[in-house]
Amino acid sequence: MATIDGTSLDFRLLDRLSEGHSAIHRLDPRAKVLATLFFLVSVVSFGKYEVSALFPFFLYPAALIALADLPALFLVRKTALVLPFAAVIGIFNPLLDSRILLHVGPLAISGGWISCASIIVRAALTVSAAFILVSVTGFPSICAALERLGMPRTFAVQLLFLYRYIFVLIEEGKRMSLARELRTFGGRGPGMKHFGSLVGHLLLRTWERAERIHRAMLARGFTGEFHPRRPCRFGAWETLYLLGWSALFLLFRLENIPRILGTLVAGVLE
Amino acid sequence: MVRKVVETHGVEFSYVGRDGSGPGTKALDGISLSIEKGEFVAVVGGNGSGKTTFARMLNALFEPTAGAVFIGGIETKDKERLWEVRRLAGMVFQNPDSQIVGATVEEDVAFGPENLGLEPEEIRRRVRDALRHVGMEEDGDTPPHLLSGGRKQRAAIAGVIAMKPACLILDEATALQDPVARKDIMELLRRINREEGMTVIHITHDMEEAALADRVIVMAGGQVALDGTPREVFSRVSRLRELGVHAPYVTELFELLREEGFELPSGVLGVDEAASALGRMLTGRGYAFHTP
Repeated sequence: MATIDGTSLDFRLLDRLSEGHSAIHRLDPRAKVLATLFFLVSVVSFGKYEVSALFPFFLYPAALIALADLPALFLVRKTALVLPFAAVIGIFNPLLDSRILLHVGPLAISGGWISCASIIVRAALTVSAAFILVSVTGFPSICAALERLGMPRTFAVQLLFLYRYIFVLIEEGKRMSLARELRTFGGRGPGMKHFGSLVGHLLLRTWERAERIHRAMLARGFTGEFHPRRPCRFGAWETLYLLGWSALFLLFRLENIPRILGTLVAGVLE
Repeated sequence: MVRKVVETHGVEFSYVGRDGSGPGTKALDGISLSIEKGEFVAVVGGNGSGKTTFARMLNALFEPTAGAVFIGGIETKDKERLWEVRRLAGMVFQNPDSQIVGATVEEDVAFGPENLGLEPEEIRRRVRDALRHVGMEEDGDTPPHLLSGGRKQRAAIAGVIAMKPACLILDEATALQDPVARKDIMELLRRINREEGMTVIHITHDMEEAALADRVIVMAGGQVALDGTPREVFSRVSRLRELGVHAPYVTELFELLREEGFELPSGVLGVDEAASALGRMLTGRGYAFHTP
């Protein structure tokens, strides 16, 4: 069970990871945002029964984890936490789609099972790509990049505030949870009955605290614009990075690499 | 060069009433005062006396409902020069956790200069200087949540002085700190005031801290009730009691002794001064008295 403390630490760790100094960290955020966007579009554009064609896309998160020196286990764990939600989406597919599409030896696999697996693989790919983007870029820089790519400033600032206030919500939640534990002797006492009131209080406290933070930001000359710490320059490396990955994603999308490899191996064996 | 850093003329402010229909309680009621460049002013008063509202008025976070506030000669109502007002009147709040926005100390200190649109090289220089001023040169890469309360507040002060304000306003900035951190912050403020000539407006409930200022303003009911040097203000012990505040403990003790008939001076502010006064009284009565 994820605790409030654990969630807070995970968010902070993602923030800390974005302060790395690898070649990937140093790239202009726009190149990383666009490459991730192409990756996501390519992954979700496959048909619902495609599974094997998705596997080459794991090269992208694996390469970035290696090049940016990111903690692979931490990211795999974080991604794995999201997968049950994807599984819930696809869990009814086997019941709704019982048409047999594949035989593995004596085992007949229906279209529902294949589409369910496809949803889970896609979720693993897209969620890990998003975590990696935050880890090598940092949320404020992603928002700045989106703004420079044409997203209206209002949306970019809203996203940044959302991110900043997640920490405020977590901290207030931590305080309330601790106060409740201390007065309910380890979880006994009034439970769900007071849950609504607790959530209401949490909202009000978070709101008040968010207002204090906003006031402090205004007092330091904040005018609705965040300034990324790293200077932005879309140069040759960024062009190469973006074109390289885009070309690879296009190749993975147009050609079923595992099938080609399988055919090759089968040909050699024959 | 404008000598008066802060000038207020008949400032009034009312919070919106509970039903949101009209003006509610009057938080400020005709405040007229001026604060000169380089002054160290302590603003004291009971809860609801208007201290915090007054501080927020100086940084243009609130706009007066009547009267005018000038910071460095600029009226805070002037929307075109709002950023200049906020640069000149740097504000440090009570809870450092509510004012830190950066993922590292350095990033947080740079937030203000970045908002001023300074060149990256100038921002780096200011961050370095500000961190040196508060004795946190080594903490630039530290995430603020890993710092102690005192160091967080120092980082918050660095974030404001990096904007090179004409005056530093501290809204009960020592209230959540332990005694050691409070003393540290007070020493830092005195140093910034003396060495940089920066005007400091320190809003506090702690009278010992207020006694260290050059000037003390006592607020009550949204008005300036007393204004003078710490000695002038704190020698009026009974008036202070009427206003719901107390003088520093040593001053109160001496006042009680005076009421009991001891020939002691009024308005004694510190322990050293108290020891000298006691020594003089005892020596005058023929006792031997040695200060350590």
